[in-house]
Amino acid sequence: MAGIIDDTDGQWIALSGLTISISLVLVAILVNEAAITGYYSSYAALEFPKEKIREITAQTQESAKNAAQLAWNYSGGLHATNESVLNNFTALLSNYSAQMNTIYAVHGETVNITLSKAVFNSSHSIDIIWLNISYDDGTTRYTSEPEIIEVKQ
Amino acid sequence: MMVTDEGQISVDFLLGISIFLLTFGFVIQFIPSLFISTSAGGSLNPVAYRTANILADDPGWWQNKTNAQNGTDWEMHLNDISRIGLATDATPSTRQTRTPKMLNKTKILQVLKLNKTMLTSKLGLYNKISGSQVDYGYNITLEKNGSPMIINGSIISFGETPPTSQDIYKITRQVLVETGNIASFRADEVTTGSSSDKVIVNISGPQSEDVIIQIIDINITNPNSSFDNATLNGSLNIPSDYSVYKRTNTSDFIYSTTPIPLENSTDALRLIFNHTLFPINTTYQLELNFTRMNFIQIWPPYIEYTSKIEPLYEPATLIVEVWK
Amino acid sequence: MNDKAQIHTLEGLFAATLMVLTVMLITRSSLIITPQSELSMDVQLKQTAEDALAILDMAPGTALQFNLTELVAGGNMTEATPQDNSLKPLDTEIDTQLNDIMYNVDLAYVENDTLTVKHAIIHGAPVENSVVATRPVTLYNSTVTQAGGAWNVSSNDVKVVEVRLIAWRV
Repeated sequence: MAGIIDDTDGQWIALSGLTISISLVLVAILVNEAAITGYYSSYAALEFPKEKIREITAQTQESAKNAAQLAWNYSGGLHATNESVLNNFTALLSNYSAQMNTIYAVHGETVNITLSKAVFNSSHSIDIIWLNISYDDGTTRYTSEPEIIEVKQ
Repeated sequence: MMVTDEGQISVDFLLGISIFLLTFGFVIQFIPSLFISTSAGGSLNPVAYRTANILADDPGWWQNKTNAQNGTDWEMHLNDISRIGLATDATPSTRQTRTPKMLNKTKILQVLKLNKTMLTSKLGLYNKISGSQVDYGYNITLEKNGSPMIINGSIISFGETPPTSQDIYKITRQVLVETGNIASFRADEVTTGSSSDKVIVNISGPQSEDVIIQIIDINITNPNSSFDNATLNGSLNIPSDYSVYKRTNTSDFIYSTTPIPLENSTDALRLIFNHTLFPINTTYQLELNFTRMNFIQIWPPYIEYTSKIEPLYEPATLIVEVWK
Repeated sequence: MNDKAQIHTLEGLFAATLMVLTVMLITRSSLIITPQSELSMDVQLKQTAEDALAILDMAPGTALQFNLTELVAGGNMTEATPQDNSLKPLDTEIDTQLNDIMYNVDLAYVENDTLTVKHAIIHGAPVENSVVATRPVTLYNSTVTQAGGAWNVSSNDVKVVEVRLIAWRV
């Protein structure tokens, strides 16, 4: 047996086997690293709330227009005063804002919609609405201040 | 004796080295199949995703530095394009659009006019590898019900035919595509001629696009009502110049042959007239002939097609395919 | 007996075993088999679901027979069961947008200051990789009356309803 131990001629075969194994492991780690980067970039595409932000602004624009019309009708149409239309509109908008807030709070997002200014025309209906919209989901924050909405009849 | 001993050593060495080499060969062969699916798998997916997003959600941008002008209506300024997007935009001077996912017909048709170099660079479908540009292969198609859409006679598809032997990265988006113009009339607002089952619509020529007329909310009182035919300026059209589609409460608009029975108040008709019927600058009188219908009789002036005209959007699928 | 004769074979075998074991270790480890392609499927699925809702919401009258607001306004407010959903026209419209994708639809809205969630369409139990797309719609007394729905909205009030589309691939 002493002969086998003393004979070191063939060690390079075992050594190269080891070298190849180690390099394989290294390559695997590298590839994994690259794959994880890809994972996070794909994940970012899923996480960024682009559709949320769009749907909130689109919905708010549409609702504000309709609320302006509704407020005018409910205040008596042509017999309305700017004050009563504004009061009714503010009530509708705060109601809308509160409901949006509750709905989005359930998925951990904050939505705030407030009225900053309303411009009236001569027939006591609202022509242009200035709103402040803000959205925050913890990582992404979006504000549109002011969001200007033109109400067309 | 000596010779036999020497021989034994080399057989042993041969055995050892061949086991080693065989396994090494196997490992080498195994490596590509081990990594190819993961390393290449994601690299172009973000590119396809980005391209599809910009095309569907962005109106694009053009910029002229010398006279400091810019806007989203790049389709009017093909030499100054910064970015190509297809979303329609009512306010070209602002960067945002309020109508993402609604693709504009002019923008789509203008894209087809651009050459490959322009498209590749404006859509960002290339990679810079050690200073030299490597273009990706791509194919962008608008499909409806599984076949490419045709707008104004052009198939809406640009890029190359996808190769069959390569991995292709594909993203599809659901969009609304502007395909033409439509005028939608409620049955109680159309004008009638001498009888209550003849509808008359004035169409002022020349028309460069197909004329589409839709009639909804038809009040049906008689069980044997039907739409029979359409005539232009009193003469009968040959059937190939127009086609009629009918929608019921169970189906979307499907092609129908005249006479088309009308049974339900939720039925709607859509008539498509070839634009070659209206070539010159004059007012054409279109008569739609029904059987046993009682439209409310409204006398001249007849209703104008152009007074109710609006863009017609159709649901479609935007397919972006990218490969190396 | 010549001991010398075995030594190279042994080393060759040793090297071979080492390499085979490494390859096995790499293929077996769960990290290397990345969920990348699966994740891009998720991105695609979520995008398709969001597109479908957005298109239904924005479509002008000539593109689709009913838009999302009209479809939701027409709901009869009953809790859906797998056999009978409460929003059949919405089901038809979503089905044409999402072919070969399974989905459920829930409606979430505020009633007496608390959030109420109702199932509107049930097609099955969502699997692990399901995605959710949401879209708010605003209902008024006039829209509900016109669509013939059973929502309780007074004439000077608004009702925000969130449409939740839960989609998955089978």
